[in-house]
Amino acid sequence: MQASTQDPEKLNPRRLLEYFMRILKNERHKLNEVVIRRIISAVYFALFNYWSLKSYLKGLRGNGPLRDSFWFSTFNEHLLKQGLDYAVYTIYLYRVAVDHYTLNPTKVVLTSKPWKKEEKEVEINNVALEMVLESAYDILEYLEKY
Amino acid sequence: MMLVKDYFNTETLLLGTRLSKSWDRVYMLSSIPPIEPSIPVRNVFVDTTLENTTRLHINLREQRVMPTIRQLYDMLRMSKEDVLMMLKRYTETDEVIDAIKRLRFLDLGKLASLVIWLTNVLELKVTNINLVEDLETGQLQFIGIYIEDCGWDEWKILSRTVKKQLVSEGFDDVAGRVALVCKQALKTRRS
Repeated sequence: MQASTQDPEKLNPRRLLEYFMRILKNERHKLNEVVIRRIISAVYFALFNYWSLKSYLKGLRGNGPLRDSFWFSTFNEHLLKQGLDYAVYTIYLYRVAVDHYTLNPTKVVLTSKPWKKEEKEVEINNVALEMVLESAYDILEYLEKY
Repeated sequence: MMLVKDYFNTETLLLGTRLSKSWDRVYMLSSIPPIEPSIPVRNVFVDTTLENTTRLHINLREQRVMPTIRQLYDMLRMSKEDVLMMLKRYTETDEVIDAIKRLRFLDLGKLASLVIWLTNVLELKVTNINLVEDLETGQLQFIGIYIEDCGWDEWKILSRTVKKQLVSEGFDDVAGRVALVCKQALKTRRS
């Protein structure tokens, strides 16, 4: 498909976020640790996909045969420039926790080497999910105007 | 005479009130023109050798100066050693600074200027500076500047205000490669 025919809104995660928020607010019985972990991970990548497509359609190019694969760092950098530090960091921290760490609560290290000393205590629960969704809505609000 | 409230927006003032407890001792931008762009900053801080940030802090207070990040950067460009010494106060190992230099991720003088601005102008308590990587690729994502005593709502205001300031001063690279992190916000929100 030609880039010019792509509709960026097809990857708009608003409905997904609303669905997750509905579960958090009204259907808490559906939440367990597995569900929370998968929601947090999905939220990060849904936002990343939406940003990637919008950026591609604006002319940004990444890697891969169609140059449509982007680095997380480019995504993070873009959002940090908008002053979304709290949202970027929160989602990033919890995304790493839910996808890379097994225990709950756990201690997350956001680096591989050699400056490993900075540990973040993380608990994956409803409060964490609320923070992530709030952050995600703020990022989405920016991305919809981008 | 220009008051600080004219210089920073309302959000910053609210933030300052909550965070630093010292905005009631508001510094006024000097009516004597240290801030005027036409006057080189190094002429303003006549006796500042920048031996350490304490000295700078005293000078700023004595002269009631609210410098911009750019002005601090211009001043710091005079000495790489001062920049390194200042940054190492906030890093647990030299590896952090070495990595930023090796990867050419960010000009250390710009990073130091931002930290000085945060600690001396906004009077935030910066506890440390660290790197955030992508665990899957090992790629450096951003530099985290960790701040004590600020909550979730303050974190939002702080992020937006400081980044707006950085971009307005032409430091887009710093804005994109540094994340301000309110440690308390992540703790207090947890059950």
